[in-house]
Amino acid sequence: MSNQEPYAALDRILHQPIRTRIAAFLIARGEATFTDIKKALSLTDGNLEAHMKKLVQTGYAVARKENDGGRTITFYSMSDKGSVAFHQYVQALNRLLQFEA
Amino acid sequence: MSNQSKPARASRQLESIHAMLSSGHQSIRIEKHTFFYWGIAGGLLTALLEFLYRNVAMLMNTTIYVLLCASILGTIGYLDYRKTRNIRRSQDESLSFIQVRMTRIWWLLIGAAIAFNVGLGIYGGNIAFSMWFILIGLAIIIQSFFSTQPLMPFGIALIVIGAISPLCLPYTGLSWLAVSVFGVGIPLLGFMLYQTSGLWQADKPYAVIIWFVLAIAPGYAAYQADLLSRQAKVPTVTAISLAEYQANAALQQGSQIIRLPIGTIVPLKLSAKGSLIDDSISIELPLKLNKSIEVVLENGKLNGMYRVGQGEWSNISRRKILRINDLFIDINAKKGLNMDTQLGILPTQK
Repeated sequence: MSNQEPYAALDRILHQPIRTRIAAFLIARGEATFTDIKKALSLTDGNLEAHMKKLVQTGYAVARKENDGGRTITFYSMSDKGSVAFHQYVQALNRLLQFEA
Repeated sequence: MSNQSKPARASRQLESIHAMLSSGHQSIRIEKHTFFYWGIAGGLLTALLEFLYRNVAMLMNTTIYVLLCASILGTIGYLDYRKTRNIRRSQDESLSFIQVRMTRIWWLLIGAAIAFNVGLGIYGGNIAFSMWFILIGLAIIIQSFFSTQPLMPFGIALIVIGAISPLCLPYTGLSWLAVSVFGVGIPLLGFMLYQTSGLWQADKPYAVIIWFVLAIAPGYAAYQADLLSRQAKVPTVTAISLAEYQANAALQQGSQIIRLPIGTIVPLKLSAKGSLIDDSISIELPLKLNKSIEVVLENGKLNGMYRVGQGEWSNISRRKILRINDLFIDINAKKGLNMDTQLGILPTQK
């Protein structure tokens, strides 16, 4: 087995530091607004928006809109597909560390 | 990327995942207004509890008293929930799944405290306030498991107050302490948690000591002032006997101290009522004093001050001195139906 092989198993969407953290936060919290995630990760609006767009486009995260007295609030959560991918990604990281050790 | 940096990056990724999982799990916080709403409402309710008990529970019905207290707390709970929700929505934030569950745990503990309180009010007991301190302390500790707010030491401090205070203070003192800890201490905790720098910041190591002192000091000071005001109710006259008092009309005006010596028979009028019992028949139970008692009369009426022997003057607390030790029911061929009960009548300590 070459040293490169385990890295190929890592999910390309989740193997990005900010998206990894977003996914972990959403997995633990369940559902969160854009502001919840922004505050927890200390990100700028633009940066977070780009990563959320990527996660939603790939089907890893789902967005739910709720109307509250004329204001629309968007709630994000991980989809089933995203949850499975996240757990597989964590397993892959663990295997990688065992492999390297 | 070198082979050495790849495992390092994988390791960092796992570390950041663990950090964010913790952050997601510890995503709850108590808003500042919550401490003020519950603290001030709790303090006021505690201060009015005796008044409500005497005017609602004793004159009307215990159920109405319980419903009144529960409706006050329920209203505060509703207002707090609405305000918290509005604040979160205005900041585009959500109430997390854990926060909603945690709110239910708070309600369960407050419900348990109300149930204990009512039980103790009906069946007697001097530990009602301690139980409130301990249960609210537990709720704060449970909250701290899911929150980044440094709540744990304050929860422990509340439990310490609940455990130690009954050993140091009588019921009246505990009542003042509860007014102080809830009315001053809880809003103060809310204030400290939202300070980002300076002496009042809640995550400083000494913060809990400052809080502890400031939470209990007003209650203790109020209790001492209450004691002094009670001492002022004792007139500086020589104690007279009940016979002298009854015989001399001039002594029946103003303030007098009446001495009831050892062996005095005090008739206790006794009746019982319940869903199966009619209270129209009463008996007089003669009680014989085994210690002398002095009581204060003002213009022919007891003002509540008394002392046993030459001890300290105290103010009688009507609902805290009677204890029913046991009730025996028996039917036998010779005596027929018998009910035998033993009442414990205890003076308060101070």
